[in-house]
Amino acid sequence: MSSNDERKMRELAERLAAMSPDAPPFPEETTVTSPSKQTSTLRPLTVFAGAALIVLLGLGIPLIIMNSGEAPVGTDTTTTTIAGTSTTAPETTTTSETPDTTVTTTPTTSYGSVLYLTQDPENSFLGNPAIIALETVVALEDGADDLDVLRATINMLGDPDLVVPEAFSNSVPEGVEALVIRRADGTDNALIIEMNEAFLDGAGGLLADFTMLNQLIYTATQLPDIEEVQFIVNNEQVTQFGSEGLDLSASVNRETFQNELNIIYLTSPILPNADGNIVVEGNSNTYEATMHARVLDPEGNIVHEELGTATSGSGEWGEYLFVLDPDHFEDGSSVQLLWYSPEDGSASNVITIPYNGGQPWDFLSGS
Amino acid sequence: MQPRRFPRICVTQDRPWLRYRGMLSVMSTRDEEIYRSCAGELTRYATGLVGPFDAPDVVTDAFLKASGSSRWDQVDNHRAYLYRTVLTVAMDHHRSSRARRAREQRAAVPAVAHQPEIDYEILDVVERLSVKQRAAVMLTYWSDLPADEVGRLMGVSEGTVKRHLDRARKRLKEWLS
Repeated sequence: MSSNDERKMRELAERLAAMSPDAPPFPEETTVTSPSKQTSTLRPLTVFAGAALIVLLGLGIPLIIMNSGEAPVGTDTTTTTIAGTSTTAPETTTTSETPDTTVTTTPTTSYGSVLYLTQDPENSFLGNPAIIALETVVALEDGADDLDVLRATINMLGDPDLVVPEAFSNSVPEGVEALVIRRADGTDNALIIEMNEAFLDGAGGLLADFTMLNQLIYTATQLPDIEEVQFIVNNEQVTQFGSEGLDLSASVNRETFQNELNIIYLTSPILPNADGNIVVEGNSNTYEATMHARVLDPEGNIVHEELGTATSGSGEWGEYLFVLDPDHFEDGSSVQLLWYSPEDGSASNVITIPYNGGQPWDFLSGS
Repeated sequence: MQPRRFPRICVTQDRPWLRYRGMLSVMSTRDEEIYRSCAGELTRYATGLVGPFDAPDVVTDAFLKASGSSRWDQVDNHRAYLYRTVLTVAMDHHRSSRARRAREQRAAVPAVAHQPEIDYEILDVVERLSVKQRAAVMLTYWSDLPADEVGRLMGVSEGTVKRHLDRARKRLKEWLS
């Protein structure tokens, strides 16, 4: 390489570096939190534009994306959750085949995990369901790894014994099962999930198929380092899925079918953080990125309401985060997420998530 | 057959996934120190990879992704880990058509608080390179690192770094002359 080339390459790098803006602040400083005690005023001049944007948001963008066949890709959302070891619960089985009673102890461990169910929002123009993250636990033998926990969690969705609480829905049909989960070769952020053949039938209808896939994708990508998954059946890529024969031969991620979801949904379980505040976190795509969180008492009365701003909105998906005072909560409280229509001021795309007191849900025993 | 029992977890502090929840109060002081010590150089590096408009987003996303990884606590060299993550995020970012549209919109009306003058000629030039080639160029010619160190920060071999540089020069042949 000539010295001129060397000099020019150095010049290229220096001119690029010279354009560098200031380093962004520490992420914690930019985390969007909800400014408390603000009212839901909207500037009158923005109302008409807002209505137009709703139409664009509701119809235009999903259609464009669907027609182009291109998966919507957004910024990485690392609001994922992971399965982790929690408490150990030895289970004892007593066998009394003979007068000499044999006691066999099978140690099992309960592993924390997150199941993604759905909810049909109130007052929604499109009627797309919201994904709802709910903490649960799975009991596996000691020594289970993350992928074992993940498989058990995914298989809860198709478990005939799954008891779905009244507030939620499940689009994964009974019998759908993940047979094997492994990390994809050559990558550190992708999983390959071998599903059984029941998976191929989908959930009966295009929207239900999308919802089923979103549930599986969100559940499968809860490990913090996993961003995408590829579904296979009988060791082959899935090229015909569900009622419309969706091609799933490529990897999918949380953004792939995001536009088939309600414009407000919950990506992490509602739980207290280390300070005891109740954290509500998810994705939204509302007008001007504004949305509201309410705390409802057991009778459904609003005891608290906060305005929050997501990282993006008005056609772009963003992340929202509410940190709510635990004093607003009591047994039987719910969190309601919504935005106010600039057109008529009505609460729109409303989802209501019962707060389980910071405890995991027990879907298989129904409690 | 054993009966199903799912004991409830009652220990909030023992929920590792809280770490990934929007970088809340679980973000440690150590993480903040790591970030502050290398945010400037990472931003310059990201500027070489994705341009000045998207560099801050890439750096922020990369830090959130890296510090949210289950490996973060076991990493010996956080700076090197962040460099690799910036490259990964930049590649994803580059592939995103939506991000490209956003870039174009932001280029029309720069919205960065402090934005040095934009060198459009050099942005046009660097468009000819892949993100990995840009990474090799920035680390070699801006950071003045030897090929083995560049490879370590990119997560590739020394030979691959040299190939990236060679291909970069070929793609820039016209400009270099």
